[in-house]
Amino acid sequence: MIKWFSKWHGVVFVATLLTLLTGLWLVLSAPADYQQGDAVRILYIHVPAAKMSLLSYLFLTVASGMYLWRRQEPWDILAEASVSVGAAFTALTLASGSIWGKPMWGAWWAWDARLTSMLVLLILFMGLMALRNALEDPHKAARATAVLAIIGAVDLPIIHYSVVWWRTLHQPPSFAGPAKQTITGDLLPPLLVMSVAFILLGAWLLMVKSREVAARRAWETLETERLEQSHG
Amino acid sequence: MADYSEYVLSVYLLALLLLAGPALLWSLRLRRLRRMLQAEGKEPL
Amino acid sequence: MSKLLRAAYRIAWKDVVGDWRRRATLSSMLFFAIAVLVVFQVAFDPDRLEATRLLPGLLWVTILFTSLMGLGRVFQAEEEDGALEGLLLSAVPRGVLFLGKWSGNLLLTLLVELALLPLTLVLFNVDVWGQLPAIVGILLLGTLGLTGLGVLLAAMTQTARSRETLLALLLLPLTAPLLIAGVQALAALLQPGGEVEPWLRLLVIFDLVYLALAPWAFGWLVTE
Repeated sequence: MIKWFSKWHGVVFVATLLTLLTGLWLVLSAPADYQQGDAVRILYIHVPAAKMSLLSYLFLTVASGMYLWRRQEPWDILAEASVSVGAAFTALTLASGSIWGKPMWGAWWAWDARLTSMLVLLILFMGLMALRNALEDPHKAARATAVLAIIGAVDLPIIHYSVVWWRTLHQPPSFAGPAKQTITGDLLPPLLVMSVAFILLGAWLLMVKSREVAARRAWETLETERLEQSHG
Repeated sequence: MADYSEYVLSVYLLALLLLAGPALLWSLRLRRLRRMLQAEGKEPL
Repeated sequence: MSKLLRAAYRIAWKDVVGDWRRRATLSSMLFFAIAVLVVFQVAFDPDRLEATRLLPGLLWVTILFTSLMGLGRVFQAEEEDGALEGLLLSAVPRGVLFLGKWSGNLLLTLLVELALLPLTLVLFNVDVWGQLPAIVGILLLGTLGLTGLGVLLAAMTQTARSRETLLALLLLPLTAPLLIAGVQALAALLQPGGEVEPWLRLLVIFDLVYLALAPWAFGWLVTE
């Protein structure tokens, strides 16, 4: 699989670059929104990044489940790579949402369901990285992170709905800005192209990170072998 | 209509930083590791 | 079946009795909880009305922080004398082992809560003694899921570097639904006309999900 990544990453990179450039051109040429003005151009980054955060977690869950089932190392490599890629997209989602919120809501942050779930998602990605780094034994680390990823996959919808209930039953959202998802007409083409570009970008990032992880593990195995030889 | 171009620009710069940054870091690390593996006579992945 | 339950019971009993004799975890949890209460009082200095409003959050935050102390020690005894390998090698199924560890921790946490609750009401001058049974019920419901998830995460981090920090980092965000439901249920209980039922439902969902998932997840975690 890693060999396959090494063979095709160039093609994916070129496709990503071309789609991204087309997307950016569409973003610049699309008219400003009558309600949000130019701020709508933030959504062309924010919405695809949010989709990629969730997609990364979905991919992580599948890879973790497959690893626990089959115990084959490539699944663990994919899981480790998707955590890093997902963390980057989630950080971008939160930052861009926050910057969009300032002119639209008048505040950098609102504790609404989507922002809160995204924040928990970011902490979860960080926790997965910390857990892997903190465990000495690579097999133990692989198992622990896979189990944690699955626990998180179960927890995330519960978190989302509990925050939704909390905000609607207890205190209604204090910020009544323009709704986030009123995607019509002129907004659609740049958003679609940017979404495709982000999917390709995510795939390419996953390929690079997986290859890096695989190379690092190969090097670590080599070092351990050499250490054992010099001792034995 | 208020001028939001600063916000928009900062988001696009941030996207560049957060996505291209790791990509560059990982690529460089990958290249270094491949060279090290090659020097040991190992088939690079 | 009864043999398995007896094995789980023995594991739990060994932990609880052993701890009771040494008074190790129980007393440190309790004193930590009291220290948190003092910190809250000093930091917010609430009057009676504010104290009633703050009580649900105060109780749950104290319980959450205190439970972290207990969870850090769930596998400590086995870690020190290598007895976990022995337990894993024995014929006891992983799920039963988890059940034993979990019920031991649950019992300790509940004991701390039972001591903490009247203490909080006295120290903060909140007069809700009439609703004490309902408050205990909500705390119990939340503690089931909290300790279930907590023991699983404790097993996950037991051999990690700086495991107590890691445990807190993993547990706190994952218990967000529990905290929301627990605090809202208590708040609804303490104010007239509050609706407790939807939050109880959320607590039960959280409990069921984690108590169903955790024994399996524990099995995946410790199987070579």
